[in-house]
Amino acid sequence: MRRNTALDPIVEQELEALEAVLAGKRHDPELALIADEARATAPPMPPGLALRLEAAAADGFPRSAPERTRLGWLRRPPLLPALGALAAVLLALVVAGSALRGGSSDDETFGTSGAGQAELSTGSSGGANTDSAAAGSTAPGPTGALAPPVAEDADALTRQAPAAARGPRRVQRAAELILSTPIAELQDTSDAVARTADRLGGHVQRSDVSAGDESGQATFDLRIPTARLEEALASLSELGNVQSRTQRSQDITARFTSARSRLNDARAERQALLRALAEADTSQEIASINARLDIARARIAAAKGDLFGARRAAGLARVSVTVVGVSGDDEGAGLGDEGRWTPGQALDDAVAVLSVAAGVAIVAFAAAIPAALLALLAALAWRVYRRRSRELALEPRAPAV
Amino acid sequence: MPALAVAPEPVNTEPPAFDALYREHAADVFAYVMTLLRDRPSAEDVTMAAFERAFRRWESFDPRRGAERAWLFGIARNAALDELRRRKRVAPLVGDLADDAERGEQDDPLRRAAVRAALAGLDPRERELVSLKFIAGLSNAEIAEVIGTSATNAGTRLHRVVIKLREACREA
Repeated sequence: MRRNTALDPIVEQELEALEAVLAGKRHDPELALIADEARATAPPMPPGLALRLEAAAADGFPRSAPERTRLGWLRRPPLLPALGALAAVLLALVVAGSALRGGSSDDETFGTSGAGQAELSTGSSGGANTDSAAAGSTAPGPTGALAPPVAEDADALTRQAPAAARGPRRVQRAAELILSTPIAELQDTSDAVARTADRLGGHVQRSDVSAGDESGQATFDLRIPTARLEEALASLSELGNVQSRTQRSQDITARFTSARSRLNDARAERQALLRALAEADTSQEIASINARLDIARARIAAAKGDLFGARRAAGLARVSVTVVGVSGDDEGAGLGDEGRWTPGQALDDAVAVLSVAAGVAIVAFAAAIPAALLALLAALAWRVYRRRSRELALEPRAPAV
Repeated sequence: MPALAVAPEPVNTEPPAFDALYREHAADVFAYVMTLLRDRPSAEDVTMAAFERAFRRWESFDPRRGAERAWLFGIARNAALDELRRRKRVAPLVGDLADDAERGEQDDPLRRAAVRAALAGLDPRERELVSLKFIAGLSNAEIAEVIGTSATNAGTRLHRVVIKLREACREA
């Protein structure tokens, strides 16, 4: 734009002559007269202005009011850094938000649900198993780990209970716990599981322990008094590193009520049959009533069994415990043997944190590049516009028509 | 008898170079701004504003990018043009010029009058070149830097103005 090209020789010669005359090295009456007259047009500095300038120079040229431009507020010292910080925070929020949205489908996430009970489960697999009633059922998670079903909300189940249900609510509770422990401690941990069940008034319904040199696993099907379920889970959770913890609740009030109703009906029928038997006259009539009494007694026994089962289900919670024995290198989620945080793991964590920070920085940088380019273009456009508008101010005034 | 105590010189906290720049060019800057604005009160205000701006930016001045007086006149030019834009008007062709009533006219008064008339008839851009060259004494390269063009273009334009003034002189 400001490229210099070769000056016309004649022009160059004339300009050199002008420079020589102005420097007093050459005599050219015309140029000397022109220079003299041009200098004569220069207005002298008004004394008032000279005094103002001297005073301003002494004060360090304080900024006067007209000097403040429309964008002058941007130049105030506290505002510009504050705006920069605000922009950085907004950018970080955008980046973090997008990163979280993008990563949630792949990463293993942990959350809590249920009626105020802590629960750990793998994120994407839990939702598909909410209707599962089997305490021991598992499904492979996104990383191949065993993923237990997610607990049902007891309150939600209560809302779904039949409106005709009478009497107190009967709730069957179940829990599933997956622990990891060093393979060398698998047996001790298994023994501790059984002792915990005994200590809390429960028992081991079924157990299965298999251990090798590199890996092993023990599974337990426990029955724990429902009133002590939370205590049991807390104690069991201390026996190893909790990989997953799931709780479920199922309202069995209808099952309980139905069994008791059938029992009452059967008992009433038996009483009626007994009264009829006392009044029976013929052997044929007695035989018929006895047969019906046998059926009534069978119904009573079945109803009693159902009622007992319901009471037992409500009184004893099912707790499925899986203890996974792992080698030392794989043990714990970031924790070393015996739950300690070793320097090596700290170094790994530091590398992971730095990797995430570098990723965020790269994303932020990538987002900042187009913004910076746009800002640069806008600044250039503004500069060109301002320059042109300034030059327009020098255009001769159009003659009035 | 003890020597008379001499009052210490006031400590000048400003950069001495800017102080020298200001003292050397204040009158020329005013004359240049006056050439553009043709309005004495506005020219005074703009001259003040130009030196304020220059003082604020003095620490960021890079001598490798140009002469300091070209830089100063560039600031003054922008301030003057901003004032013209603010007033939504263009530079008037006739204005408050220097009082030349006291100047001697004994040396070829006709030619002088012709040159003076030709100077008064210049358009604002030509007046600006005359002011920067003959009053401020800038080199062609410095003029180019002030008005934002190449030295070749500035020289060519200046040559045209000189030719125009020469013709007026010869026609007298």
